[in-house]
Amino acid sequence: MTEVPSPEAAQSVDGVLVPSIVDFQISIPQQTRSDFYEVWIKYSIRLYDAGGALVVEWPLTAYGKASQGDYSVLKDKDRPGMHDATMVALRDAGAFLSLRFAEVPEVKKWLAEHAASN
Amino acid sequence: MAGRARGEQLSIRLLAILSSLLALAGCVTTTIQEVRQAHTGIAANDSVVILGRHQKGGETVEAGFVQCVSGHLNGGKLAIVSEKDFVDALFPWFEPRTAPMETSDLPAIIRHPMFADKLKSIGVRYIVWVDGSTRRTDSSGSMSCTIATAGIPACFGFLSWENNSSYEAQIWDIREGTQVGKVSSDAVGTSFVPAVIAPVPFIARVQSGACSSLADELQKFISGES
Repeated sequence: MTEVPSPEAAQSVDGVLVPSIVDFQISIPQQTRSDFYEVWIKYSIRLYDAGGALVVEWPLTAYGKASQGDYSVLKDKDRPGMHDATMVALRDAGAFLSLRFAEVPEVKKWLAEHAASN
Repeated sequence: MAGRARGEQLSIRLLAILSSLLALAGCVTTTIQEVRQAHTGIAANDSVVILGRHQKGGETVEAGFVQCVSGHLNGGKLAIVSEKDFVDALFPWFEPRTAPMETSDLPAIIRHPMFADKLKSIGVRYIVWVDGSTRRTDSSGSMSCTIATAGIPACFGFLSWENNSSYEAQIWDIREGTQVGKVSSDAVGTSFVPAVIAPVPFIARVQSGACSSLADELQKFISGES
């Protein structure tokens, strides 16, 4: 995988993935009266072909949580709690892209067509 | 006035230090149960990883408990890989979204050549999935503290609370792709703090008791000694 500045700049690649954040929500235990710091990151994942045509735009909601009980000995629990919940959410997005994105019907079709043409 | 306030603060600190030095162990009752579904044994180059179940909505096992079991086992006969090292090495297959819930999910991920290579390189033979929690189930009593004459602090009253730990460990042989058994650890204990001038806490270390009992049993189970 190679990072490119824009879909138009991708002349020598098979496709371009453009993730963008469309929404971001957090909650802390004091707000929800639960035990958890929670993070939701809503992405829009766009896949372009080598010609710059949009193959699919797929919404992905990544979720992460951390239990406040795991920071009970700390005076400031909010900072490490939110940090860890955010890291879990980012990993969740990475896990989806790595293992599940290829199962999205449009992506699956595009990959099959691409494999057949090469 | 400032000197007197400092003296009172010092007295309160001394009382707190005295109380913590006097902290005694309350009574903990632990029950261990084991179900064996297959023979186990471990070779010199095999290792074990203890993983917390984080997939379920709502409750999730405490990270400290998983580290406690892992640390307890690490001091014994088994080679232990930490949860973080394992999950990082096998990213993205053991994230909350993607981790296998049943052994029937294993063949699909073992088929990935990259997964198989990474698993082989870290040498993990057994995955132990730990689930459960520790809860306060009862509490009663009251205590009041005051600064008596000459700036000496004094507390009077009686506090008590009961904690209940309930954990279950599922043991998977990842090489065979099967579950080889389950070990559960339940612990209950009552802590209390009587106070006549100085509070004297008797703390029941319930979660710690559940952790050490579970770790001891897991060691025997995986080694094939139980």
